[in-house]
Amino acid sequence: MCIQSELKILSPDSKEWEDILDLLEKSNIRLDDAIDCTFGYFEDDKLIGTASVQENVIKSIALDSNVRGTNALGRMLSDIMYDVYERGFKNIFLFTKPDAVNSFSNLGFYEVDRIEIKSDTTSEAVVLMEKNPEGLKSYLKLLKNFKVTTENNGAIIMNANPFTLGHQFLIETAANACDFLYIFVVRAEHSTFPYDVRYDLIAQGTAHLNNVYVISGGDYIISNATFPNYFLKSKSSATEFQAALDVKIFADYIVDTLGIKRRFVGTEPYCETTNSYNDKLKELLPQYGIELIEIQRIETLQGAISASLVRALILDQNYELLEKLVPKSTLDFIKSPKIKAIREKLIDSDSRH
Amino acid sequence: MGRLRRTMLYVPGNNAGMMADAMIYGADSIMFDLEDSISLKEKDAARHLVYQAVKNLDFGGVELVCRVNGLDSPYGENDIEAMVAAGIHVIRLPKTETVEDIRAVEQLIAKYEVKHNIEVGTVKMMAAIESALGIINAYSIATASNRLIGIAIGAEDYVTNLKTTRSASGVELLYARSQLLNAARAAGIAALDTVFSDVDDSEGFTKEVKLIKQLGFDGKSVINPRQIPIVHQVFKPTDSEISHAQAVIKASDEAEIKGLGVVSLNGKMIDKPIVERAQRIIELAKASR
Amino acid sequence: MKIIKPSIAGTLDSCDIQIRIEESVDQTNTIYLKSPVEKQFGEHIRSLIQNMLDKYALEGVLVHAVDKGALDCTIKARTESAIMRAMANENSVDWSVIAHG
Repeated sequence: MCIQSELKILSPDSKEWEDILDLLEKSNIRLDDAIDCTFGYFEDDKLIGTASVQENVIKSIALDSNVRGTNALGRMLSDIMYDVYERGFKNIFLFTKPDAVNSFSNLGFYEVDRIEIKSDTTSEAVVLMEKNPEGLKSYLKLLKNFKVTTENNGAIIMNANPFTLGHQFLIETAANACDFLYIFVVRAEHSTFPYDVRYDLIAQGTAHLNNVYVISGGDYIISNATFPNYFLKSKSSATEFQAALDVKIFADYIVDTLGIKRRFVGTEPYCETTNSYNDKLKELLPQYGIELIEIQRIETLQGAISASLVRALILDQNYELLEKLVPKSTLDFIKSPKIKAIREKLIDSDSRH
Repeated sequence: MGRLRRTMLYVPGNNAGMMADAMIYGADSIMFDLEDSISLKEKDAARHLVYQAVKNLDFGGVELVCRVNGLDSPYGENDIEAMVAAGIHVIRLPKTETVEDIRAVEQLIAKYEVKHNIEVGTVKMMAAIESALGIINAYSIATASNRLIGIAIGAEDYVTNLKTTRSASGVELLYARSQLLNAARAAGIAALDTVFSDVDDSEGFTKEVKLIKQLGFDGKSVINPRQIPIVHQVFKPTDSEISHAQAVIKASDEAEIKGLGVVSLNGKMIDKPIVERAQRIIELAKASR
Repeated sequence: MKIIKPSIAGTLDSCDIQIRIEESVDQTNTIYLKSPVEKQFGEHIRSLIQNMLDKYALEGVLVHAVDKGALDCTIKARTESAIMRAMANENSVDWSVIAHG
C-alpha cells in the first residue's frame, strides 16, 4: 500500500529513454521541441508516466494506460509541481488535449484558452491550462491600469534584444498611425539581454512619445506558455500551432481589455520563426476583427537594422558603427560597465534574438 | 500482563492516505515515521500531519508510536514537542547508542509535558538500537528511564556497522537479537524485532517471524499491512496450547480459592512461570480471534 | 498579517489535499476549491481553511485547494503547513498555539 515513487530526469542517453518514447507514442503525444528536461515517473521501479518541463510549463504528458484511474497522474504531477515552485516560479502552465482537460481540472488546473487546427483530413487541438485560478485575471487586472479613453489603439509586441533605431522607427511609425500605442515587452528570459534591461531601453528609447505605454508581456503574450517555439532557432511542426494559440489569447483577452484595434509588425527579412509568426498574424488577426499593419524596416548601408547585427558589433566593441544603429540611450548602456555580463554571454552564445 | 506488541505498523508520516487507513489492518501498534521516510523538505509537513492525526483520529485502542528525528538534527526537539502536545503514547528514538541519548530525550519530553499541561511521565519511550555500540549498551539503555516500554533492533544500519549484509538465515543478527532480547527481559520491557523489507517474500518473512518468536521477541515492525496476519498467525497459540493453558489457569484459580499453596494439574505440580506462560497464551489467543 | 512568500503543502494523492497559498491581487482572502465531494462538503472544507486563515489573521491571500478526499485533520494539517511555510516559520512552530486552534 505504500508505493515507492520516484521522479527521474531522463535524457536520450538514459537506458529508459526508449520506454519514454514508447509511452509517448502509445498515448499519441509528441515530445515537444522546446523543453528543458524530461521526467520519467516510476512507481515500484516501473515507468508509468512522463512529462517534460520548460521553465514553468509542463508538456508532453503521458501516462501508462494501465494506471489510469489510480491517481498516478496526481502523484506524478504533485512531484513535478514542487520542482517547478522550488525553482521560484509563481504560476504553472500545462499543455494538454481537450479530452484530458477534465482530469487536469480535477487536479486543480484552470483553462486559459484552446485552439483547434483543422485540415482536410486531420484535426488537432491543444488546450493551455494554468495552476493559478487568478493568473490570467490578475494580468488583465494589471492591464486595466493602462486603459486609455481613446478608441483607435494599437499594439506592438517586441523582444528588442537590444532596442535599436529600427525598433524606434517601427514604434514611431505605429504611434503615428493610432491614437495610443501599447508596447508589450516579451517577458521570457531566452535572450542575451535580460528582460529588465530590454524593458528599460525600450522605455528610454520611446520617452519622447506621449501616446505610448511600455508594458510587460507577462505570461500570456509570446511567453513560454503561449508560444514556446518562438524562442527556437528553427521552425518546428508546432510553431504554427502555437502562433495560432498566441494570437487567439491576444484576441480573446488582451484586445478587449485595452480597446486595441490594430497590431503592428516590422517586416522580417532574417528570421524564419518570426516570419512564419507574422504570416500567421496576417491570416488570423482579421478573423478576430483586428487589423495587421506591416511596417517596412529602415535600411542602412549595412542592410536592415537588426538586433543580431548590433550584438555582433557589441562583441567587436565597434562603437562607431553602433552609434548609427542604436539610439543614444542604448548606446549609453552599451558603453556602461553593465555591458560586461552581456558581452560574456555573447561570447559563448549563438542566440537568435 | 502487559500490552501485546506483536505488530507495529510503520506509516510514513507524510502519507495522508496511509494515515487514514492505518487502524483498519489490526496491528497492535502504529508507528508514524518522521525520520528516514521523510525528505528534509517535508519534515515540517509530516509533523503537522501526524500531529493532527494523533490528536483528532480515533485509532481505537491501538498504541500510537512516533519515530522522531534524532536530537542531532534540527527537527528532533520540534518533533518531540509536537508529539507530546498531540498526545502520542510512545516516542520512539532512532539510533540509540548510550544512556545519555535516552536521558536527553526524556528531559525534553518532561519539559513539554509541563508546557502542555500533561502529567509528567505520561508519554512513554521506545529506543531503537541500530549500531554495535548500542547493542553493547543494550541493558544500560533499557534501564535508563522508567518511561521505556521496549527496545527494538534496527537491522539495516546495524549490519552496515558490522560490515556485513543481511542474509536469509539472519545469522549475522543472532548475537544482536539475543543480546537485545536478554537486555529487554532483564529490564522487564518489550523486545521488538526489525523490519523485513521484501513484502513479496512471504515465505522468507514467515521463517523470520518464527525465528524471532522462538528467540523470545514480543513482536516485529511491519512495513506493509499484508505482513500483519502472517505475524499474528505465527504468534497464535495452537488449540492444544490454549486448552492446556485454560486448564492451568482453572487449576491455579481453584487452588487460590481453596487457599492451597501448591497448584497441581493431572498430578503434575505447576509453578509460577507455567501459570504466567498460560496467561500469556490466553491473551494471545484472545487477540488472535 | 501578510504572507512572506508563496507556498505549497500536501499532494494530489488520494486522501490528501494540496494547498497553495499566494498573495492575492485583492486585499481580501479568496479560496478556490476543487474537490470530488464539492457538492456535499465544499462549504465545510472552505470553512476549515478559512478558520486556519483567521487563526493566523492572514489577509490578502489567495488559496487554491485541490482536495482528493482528505479527512478534516489532513485539511487542517496541510493548510497550517502551507501557512507556516508562507510565513517562513515552518521549523520554529509554537505547538501551544497550534493546539488551541
